[in-house]
Amino acid sequence: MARKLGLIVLVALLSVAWAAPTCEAAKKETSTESAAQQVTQAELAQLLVNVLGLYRFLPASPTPQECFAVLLDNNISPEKGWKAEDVVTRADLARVIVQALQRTDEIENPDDPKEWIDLLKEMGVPIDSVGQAVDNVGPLAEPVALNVFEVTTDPLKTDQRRGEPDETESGADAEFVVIITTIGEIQKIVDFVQPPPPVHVTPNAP
Amino acid sequence: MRLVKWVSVSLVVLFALQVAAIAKEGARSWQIHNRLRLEYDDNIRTEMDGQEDSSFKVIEEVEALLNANMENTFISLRLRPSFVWWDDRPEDQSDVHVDLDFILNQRFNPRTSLSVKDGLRRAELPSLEDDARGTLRMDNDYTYNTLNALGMYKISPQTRVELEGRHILLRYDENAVADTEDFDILVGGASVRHQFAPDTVLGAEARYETISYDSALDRDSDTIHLGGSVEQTFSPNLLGNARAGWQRKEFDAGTTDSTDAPYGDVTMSFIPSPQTRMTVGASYSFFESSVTPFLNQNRARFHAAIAHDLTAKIALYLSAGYIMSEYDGQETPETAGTVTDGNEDVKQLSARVTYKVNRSNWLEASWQYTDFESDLAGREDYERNRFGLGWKVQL
Repeated sequence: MARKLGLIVLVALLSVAWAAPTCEAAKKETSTESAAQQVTQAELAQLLVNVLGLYRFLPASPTPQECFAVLLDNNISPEKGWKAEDVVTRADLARVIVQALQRTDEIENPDDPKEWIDLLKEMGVPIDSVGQAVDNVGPLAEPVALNVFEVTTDPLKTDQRRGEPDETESGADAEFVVIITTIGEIQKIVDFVQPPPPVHVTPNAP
Repeated sequence: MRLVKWVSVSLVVLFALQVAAIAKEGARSWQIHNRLRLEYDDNIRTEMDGQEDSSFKVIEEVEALLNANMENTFISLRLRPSFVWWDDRPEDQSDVHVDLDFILNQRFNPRTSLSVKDGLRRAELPSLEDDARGTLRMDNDYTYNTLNALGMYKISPQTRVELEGRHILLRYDENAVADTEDFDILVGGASVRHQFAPDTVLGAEARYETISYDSALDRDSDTIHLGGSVEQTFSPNLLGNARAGWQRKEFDAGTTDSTDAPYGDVTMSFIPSPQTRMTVGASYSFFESSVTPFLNQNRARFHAAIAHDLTAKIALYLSAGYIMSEYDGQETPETAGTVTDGNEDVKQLSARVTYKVNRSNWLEASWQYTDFESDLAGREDYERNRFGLGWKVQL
């Protein structure tokens, strides 16, 4: 089993290693294309949860609202909040990219959209297209998200993990508390009985 | 250890390739964090009041994240080995754990996409013994893997259909534990979601779950879930979602053939101020039992969390969870004799304060509290506190 799992892991690792060097070139080609396209806030949120490393806290193929919720947990939001169908403006893009880069503390007047854009210019981060801007964002060092205590009942999402090590739970450490019963405990919980012997019925029985 | 070696060697090769590629392109798609913690644990074997032993611990944790983000493909890998050294645990002074997450999102066209998520954990939980009381925990070293694959198709801009499958595997090293606890879970599900209004998404879903154990006590079961969901954006700073439905669990060899009950969960996220984020949630459903020989538990969970930026450099995180589990003596294998009903409650509190020294370094202080109560025979109540100081660096 361990060998099979190891093989799967190795194939996955090498797949990423093969893919990653080509991704930058691919993105450069597509960035100019996306500049001409209108990107919705739902699409921007999906891109951000990927590059920020927040995807692992979300179910496979998360809904826009699930992306918005985890971005809000990490203080990343357009000025008027996330609206799935709204087209991303230059001001919104500048704001969320600065927040994603964890540079909000350098903004003196958050209500001035120009200040967010100017900060990115100073940093050399282009915001002519969503693709180009998002390229400059990396995984968060201190992600905030539900993980251990999450209350979902969906069997496609619930976690059955048990025992240490810690996971971060909304920024704090927590561990899955599951205590495995020992054989001794099982014997105390149950009173094992033998199945009753079969009853033989003869033709003369009443 | 064989698996750990595989992963370690693969990681070295991978990052050598990555560093070379990234240096050439001038961008950065990876992160490495190192986190070192000194911790005081006041109940290292989770024993009842008056029996506890304490120990200092050193926890060294490395987290490596790698993203490859292309136009239609996103691949992510996260490897998190951690090493725990116990100052005063004579049975075994060190544990090594490894977590590995893999994510692949592939968009085939604007309407169709595929997502694959895999989470692998290898954990060392060695046998714990007390001189006076004997074995408190058998060797619980285990391998756990969860694999999800989801296909999504957008029928229209407002409506999408999802088909998803999941496999969960749990394997213990120690035969005596594996004989009762090893399992495979297979889940298949279909969901339809429709954006009913700009701020409202309604959904319908069906799930089928089958669980098979290696145990001689036949604990296998099949469960059907049917229900609906709603996502509501009340305001830009208040989001909510809820699921509700009905579930029926059929036991292969239970004292009772089946059981059914409603299920539901609700989560609310809100932002009361620019410095504060809050989340609360509650749920009720069946859940797989970790207490042999029970085949099922009815579980209610409550959760609340708050993240607050005290200053630009200091952040406070608080999180609390409460789990109530009910075990029915009738929901046990026929081969087990008389089993009485029971309840277990788990309360967890967690707090952490971080100080951001600069863009790459954080200092932290943390506290975790667990209160476990059980009225099942043989299960011990316990309380546990863990106090920690740490340093996290982004390399």
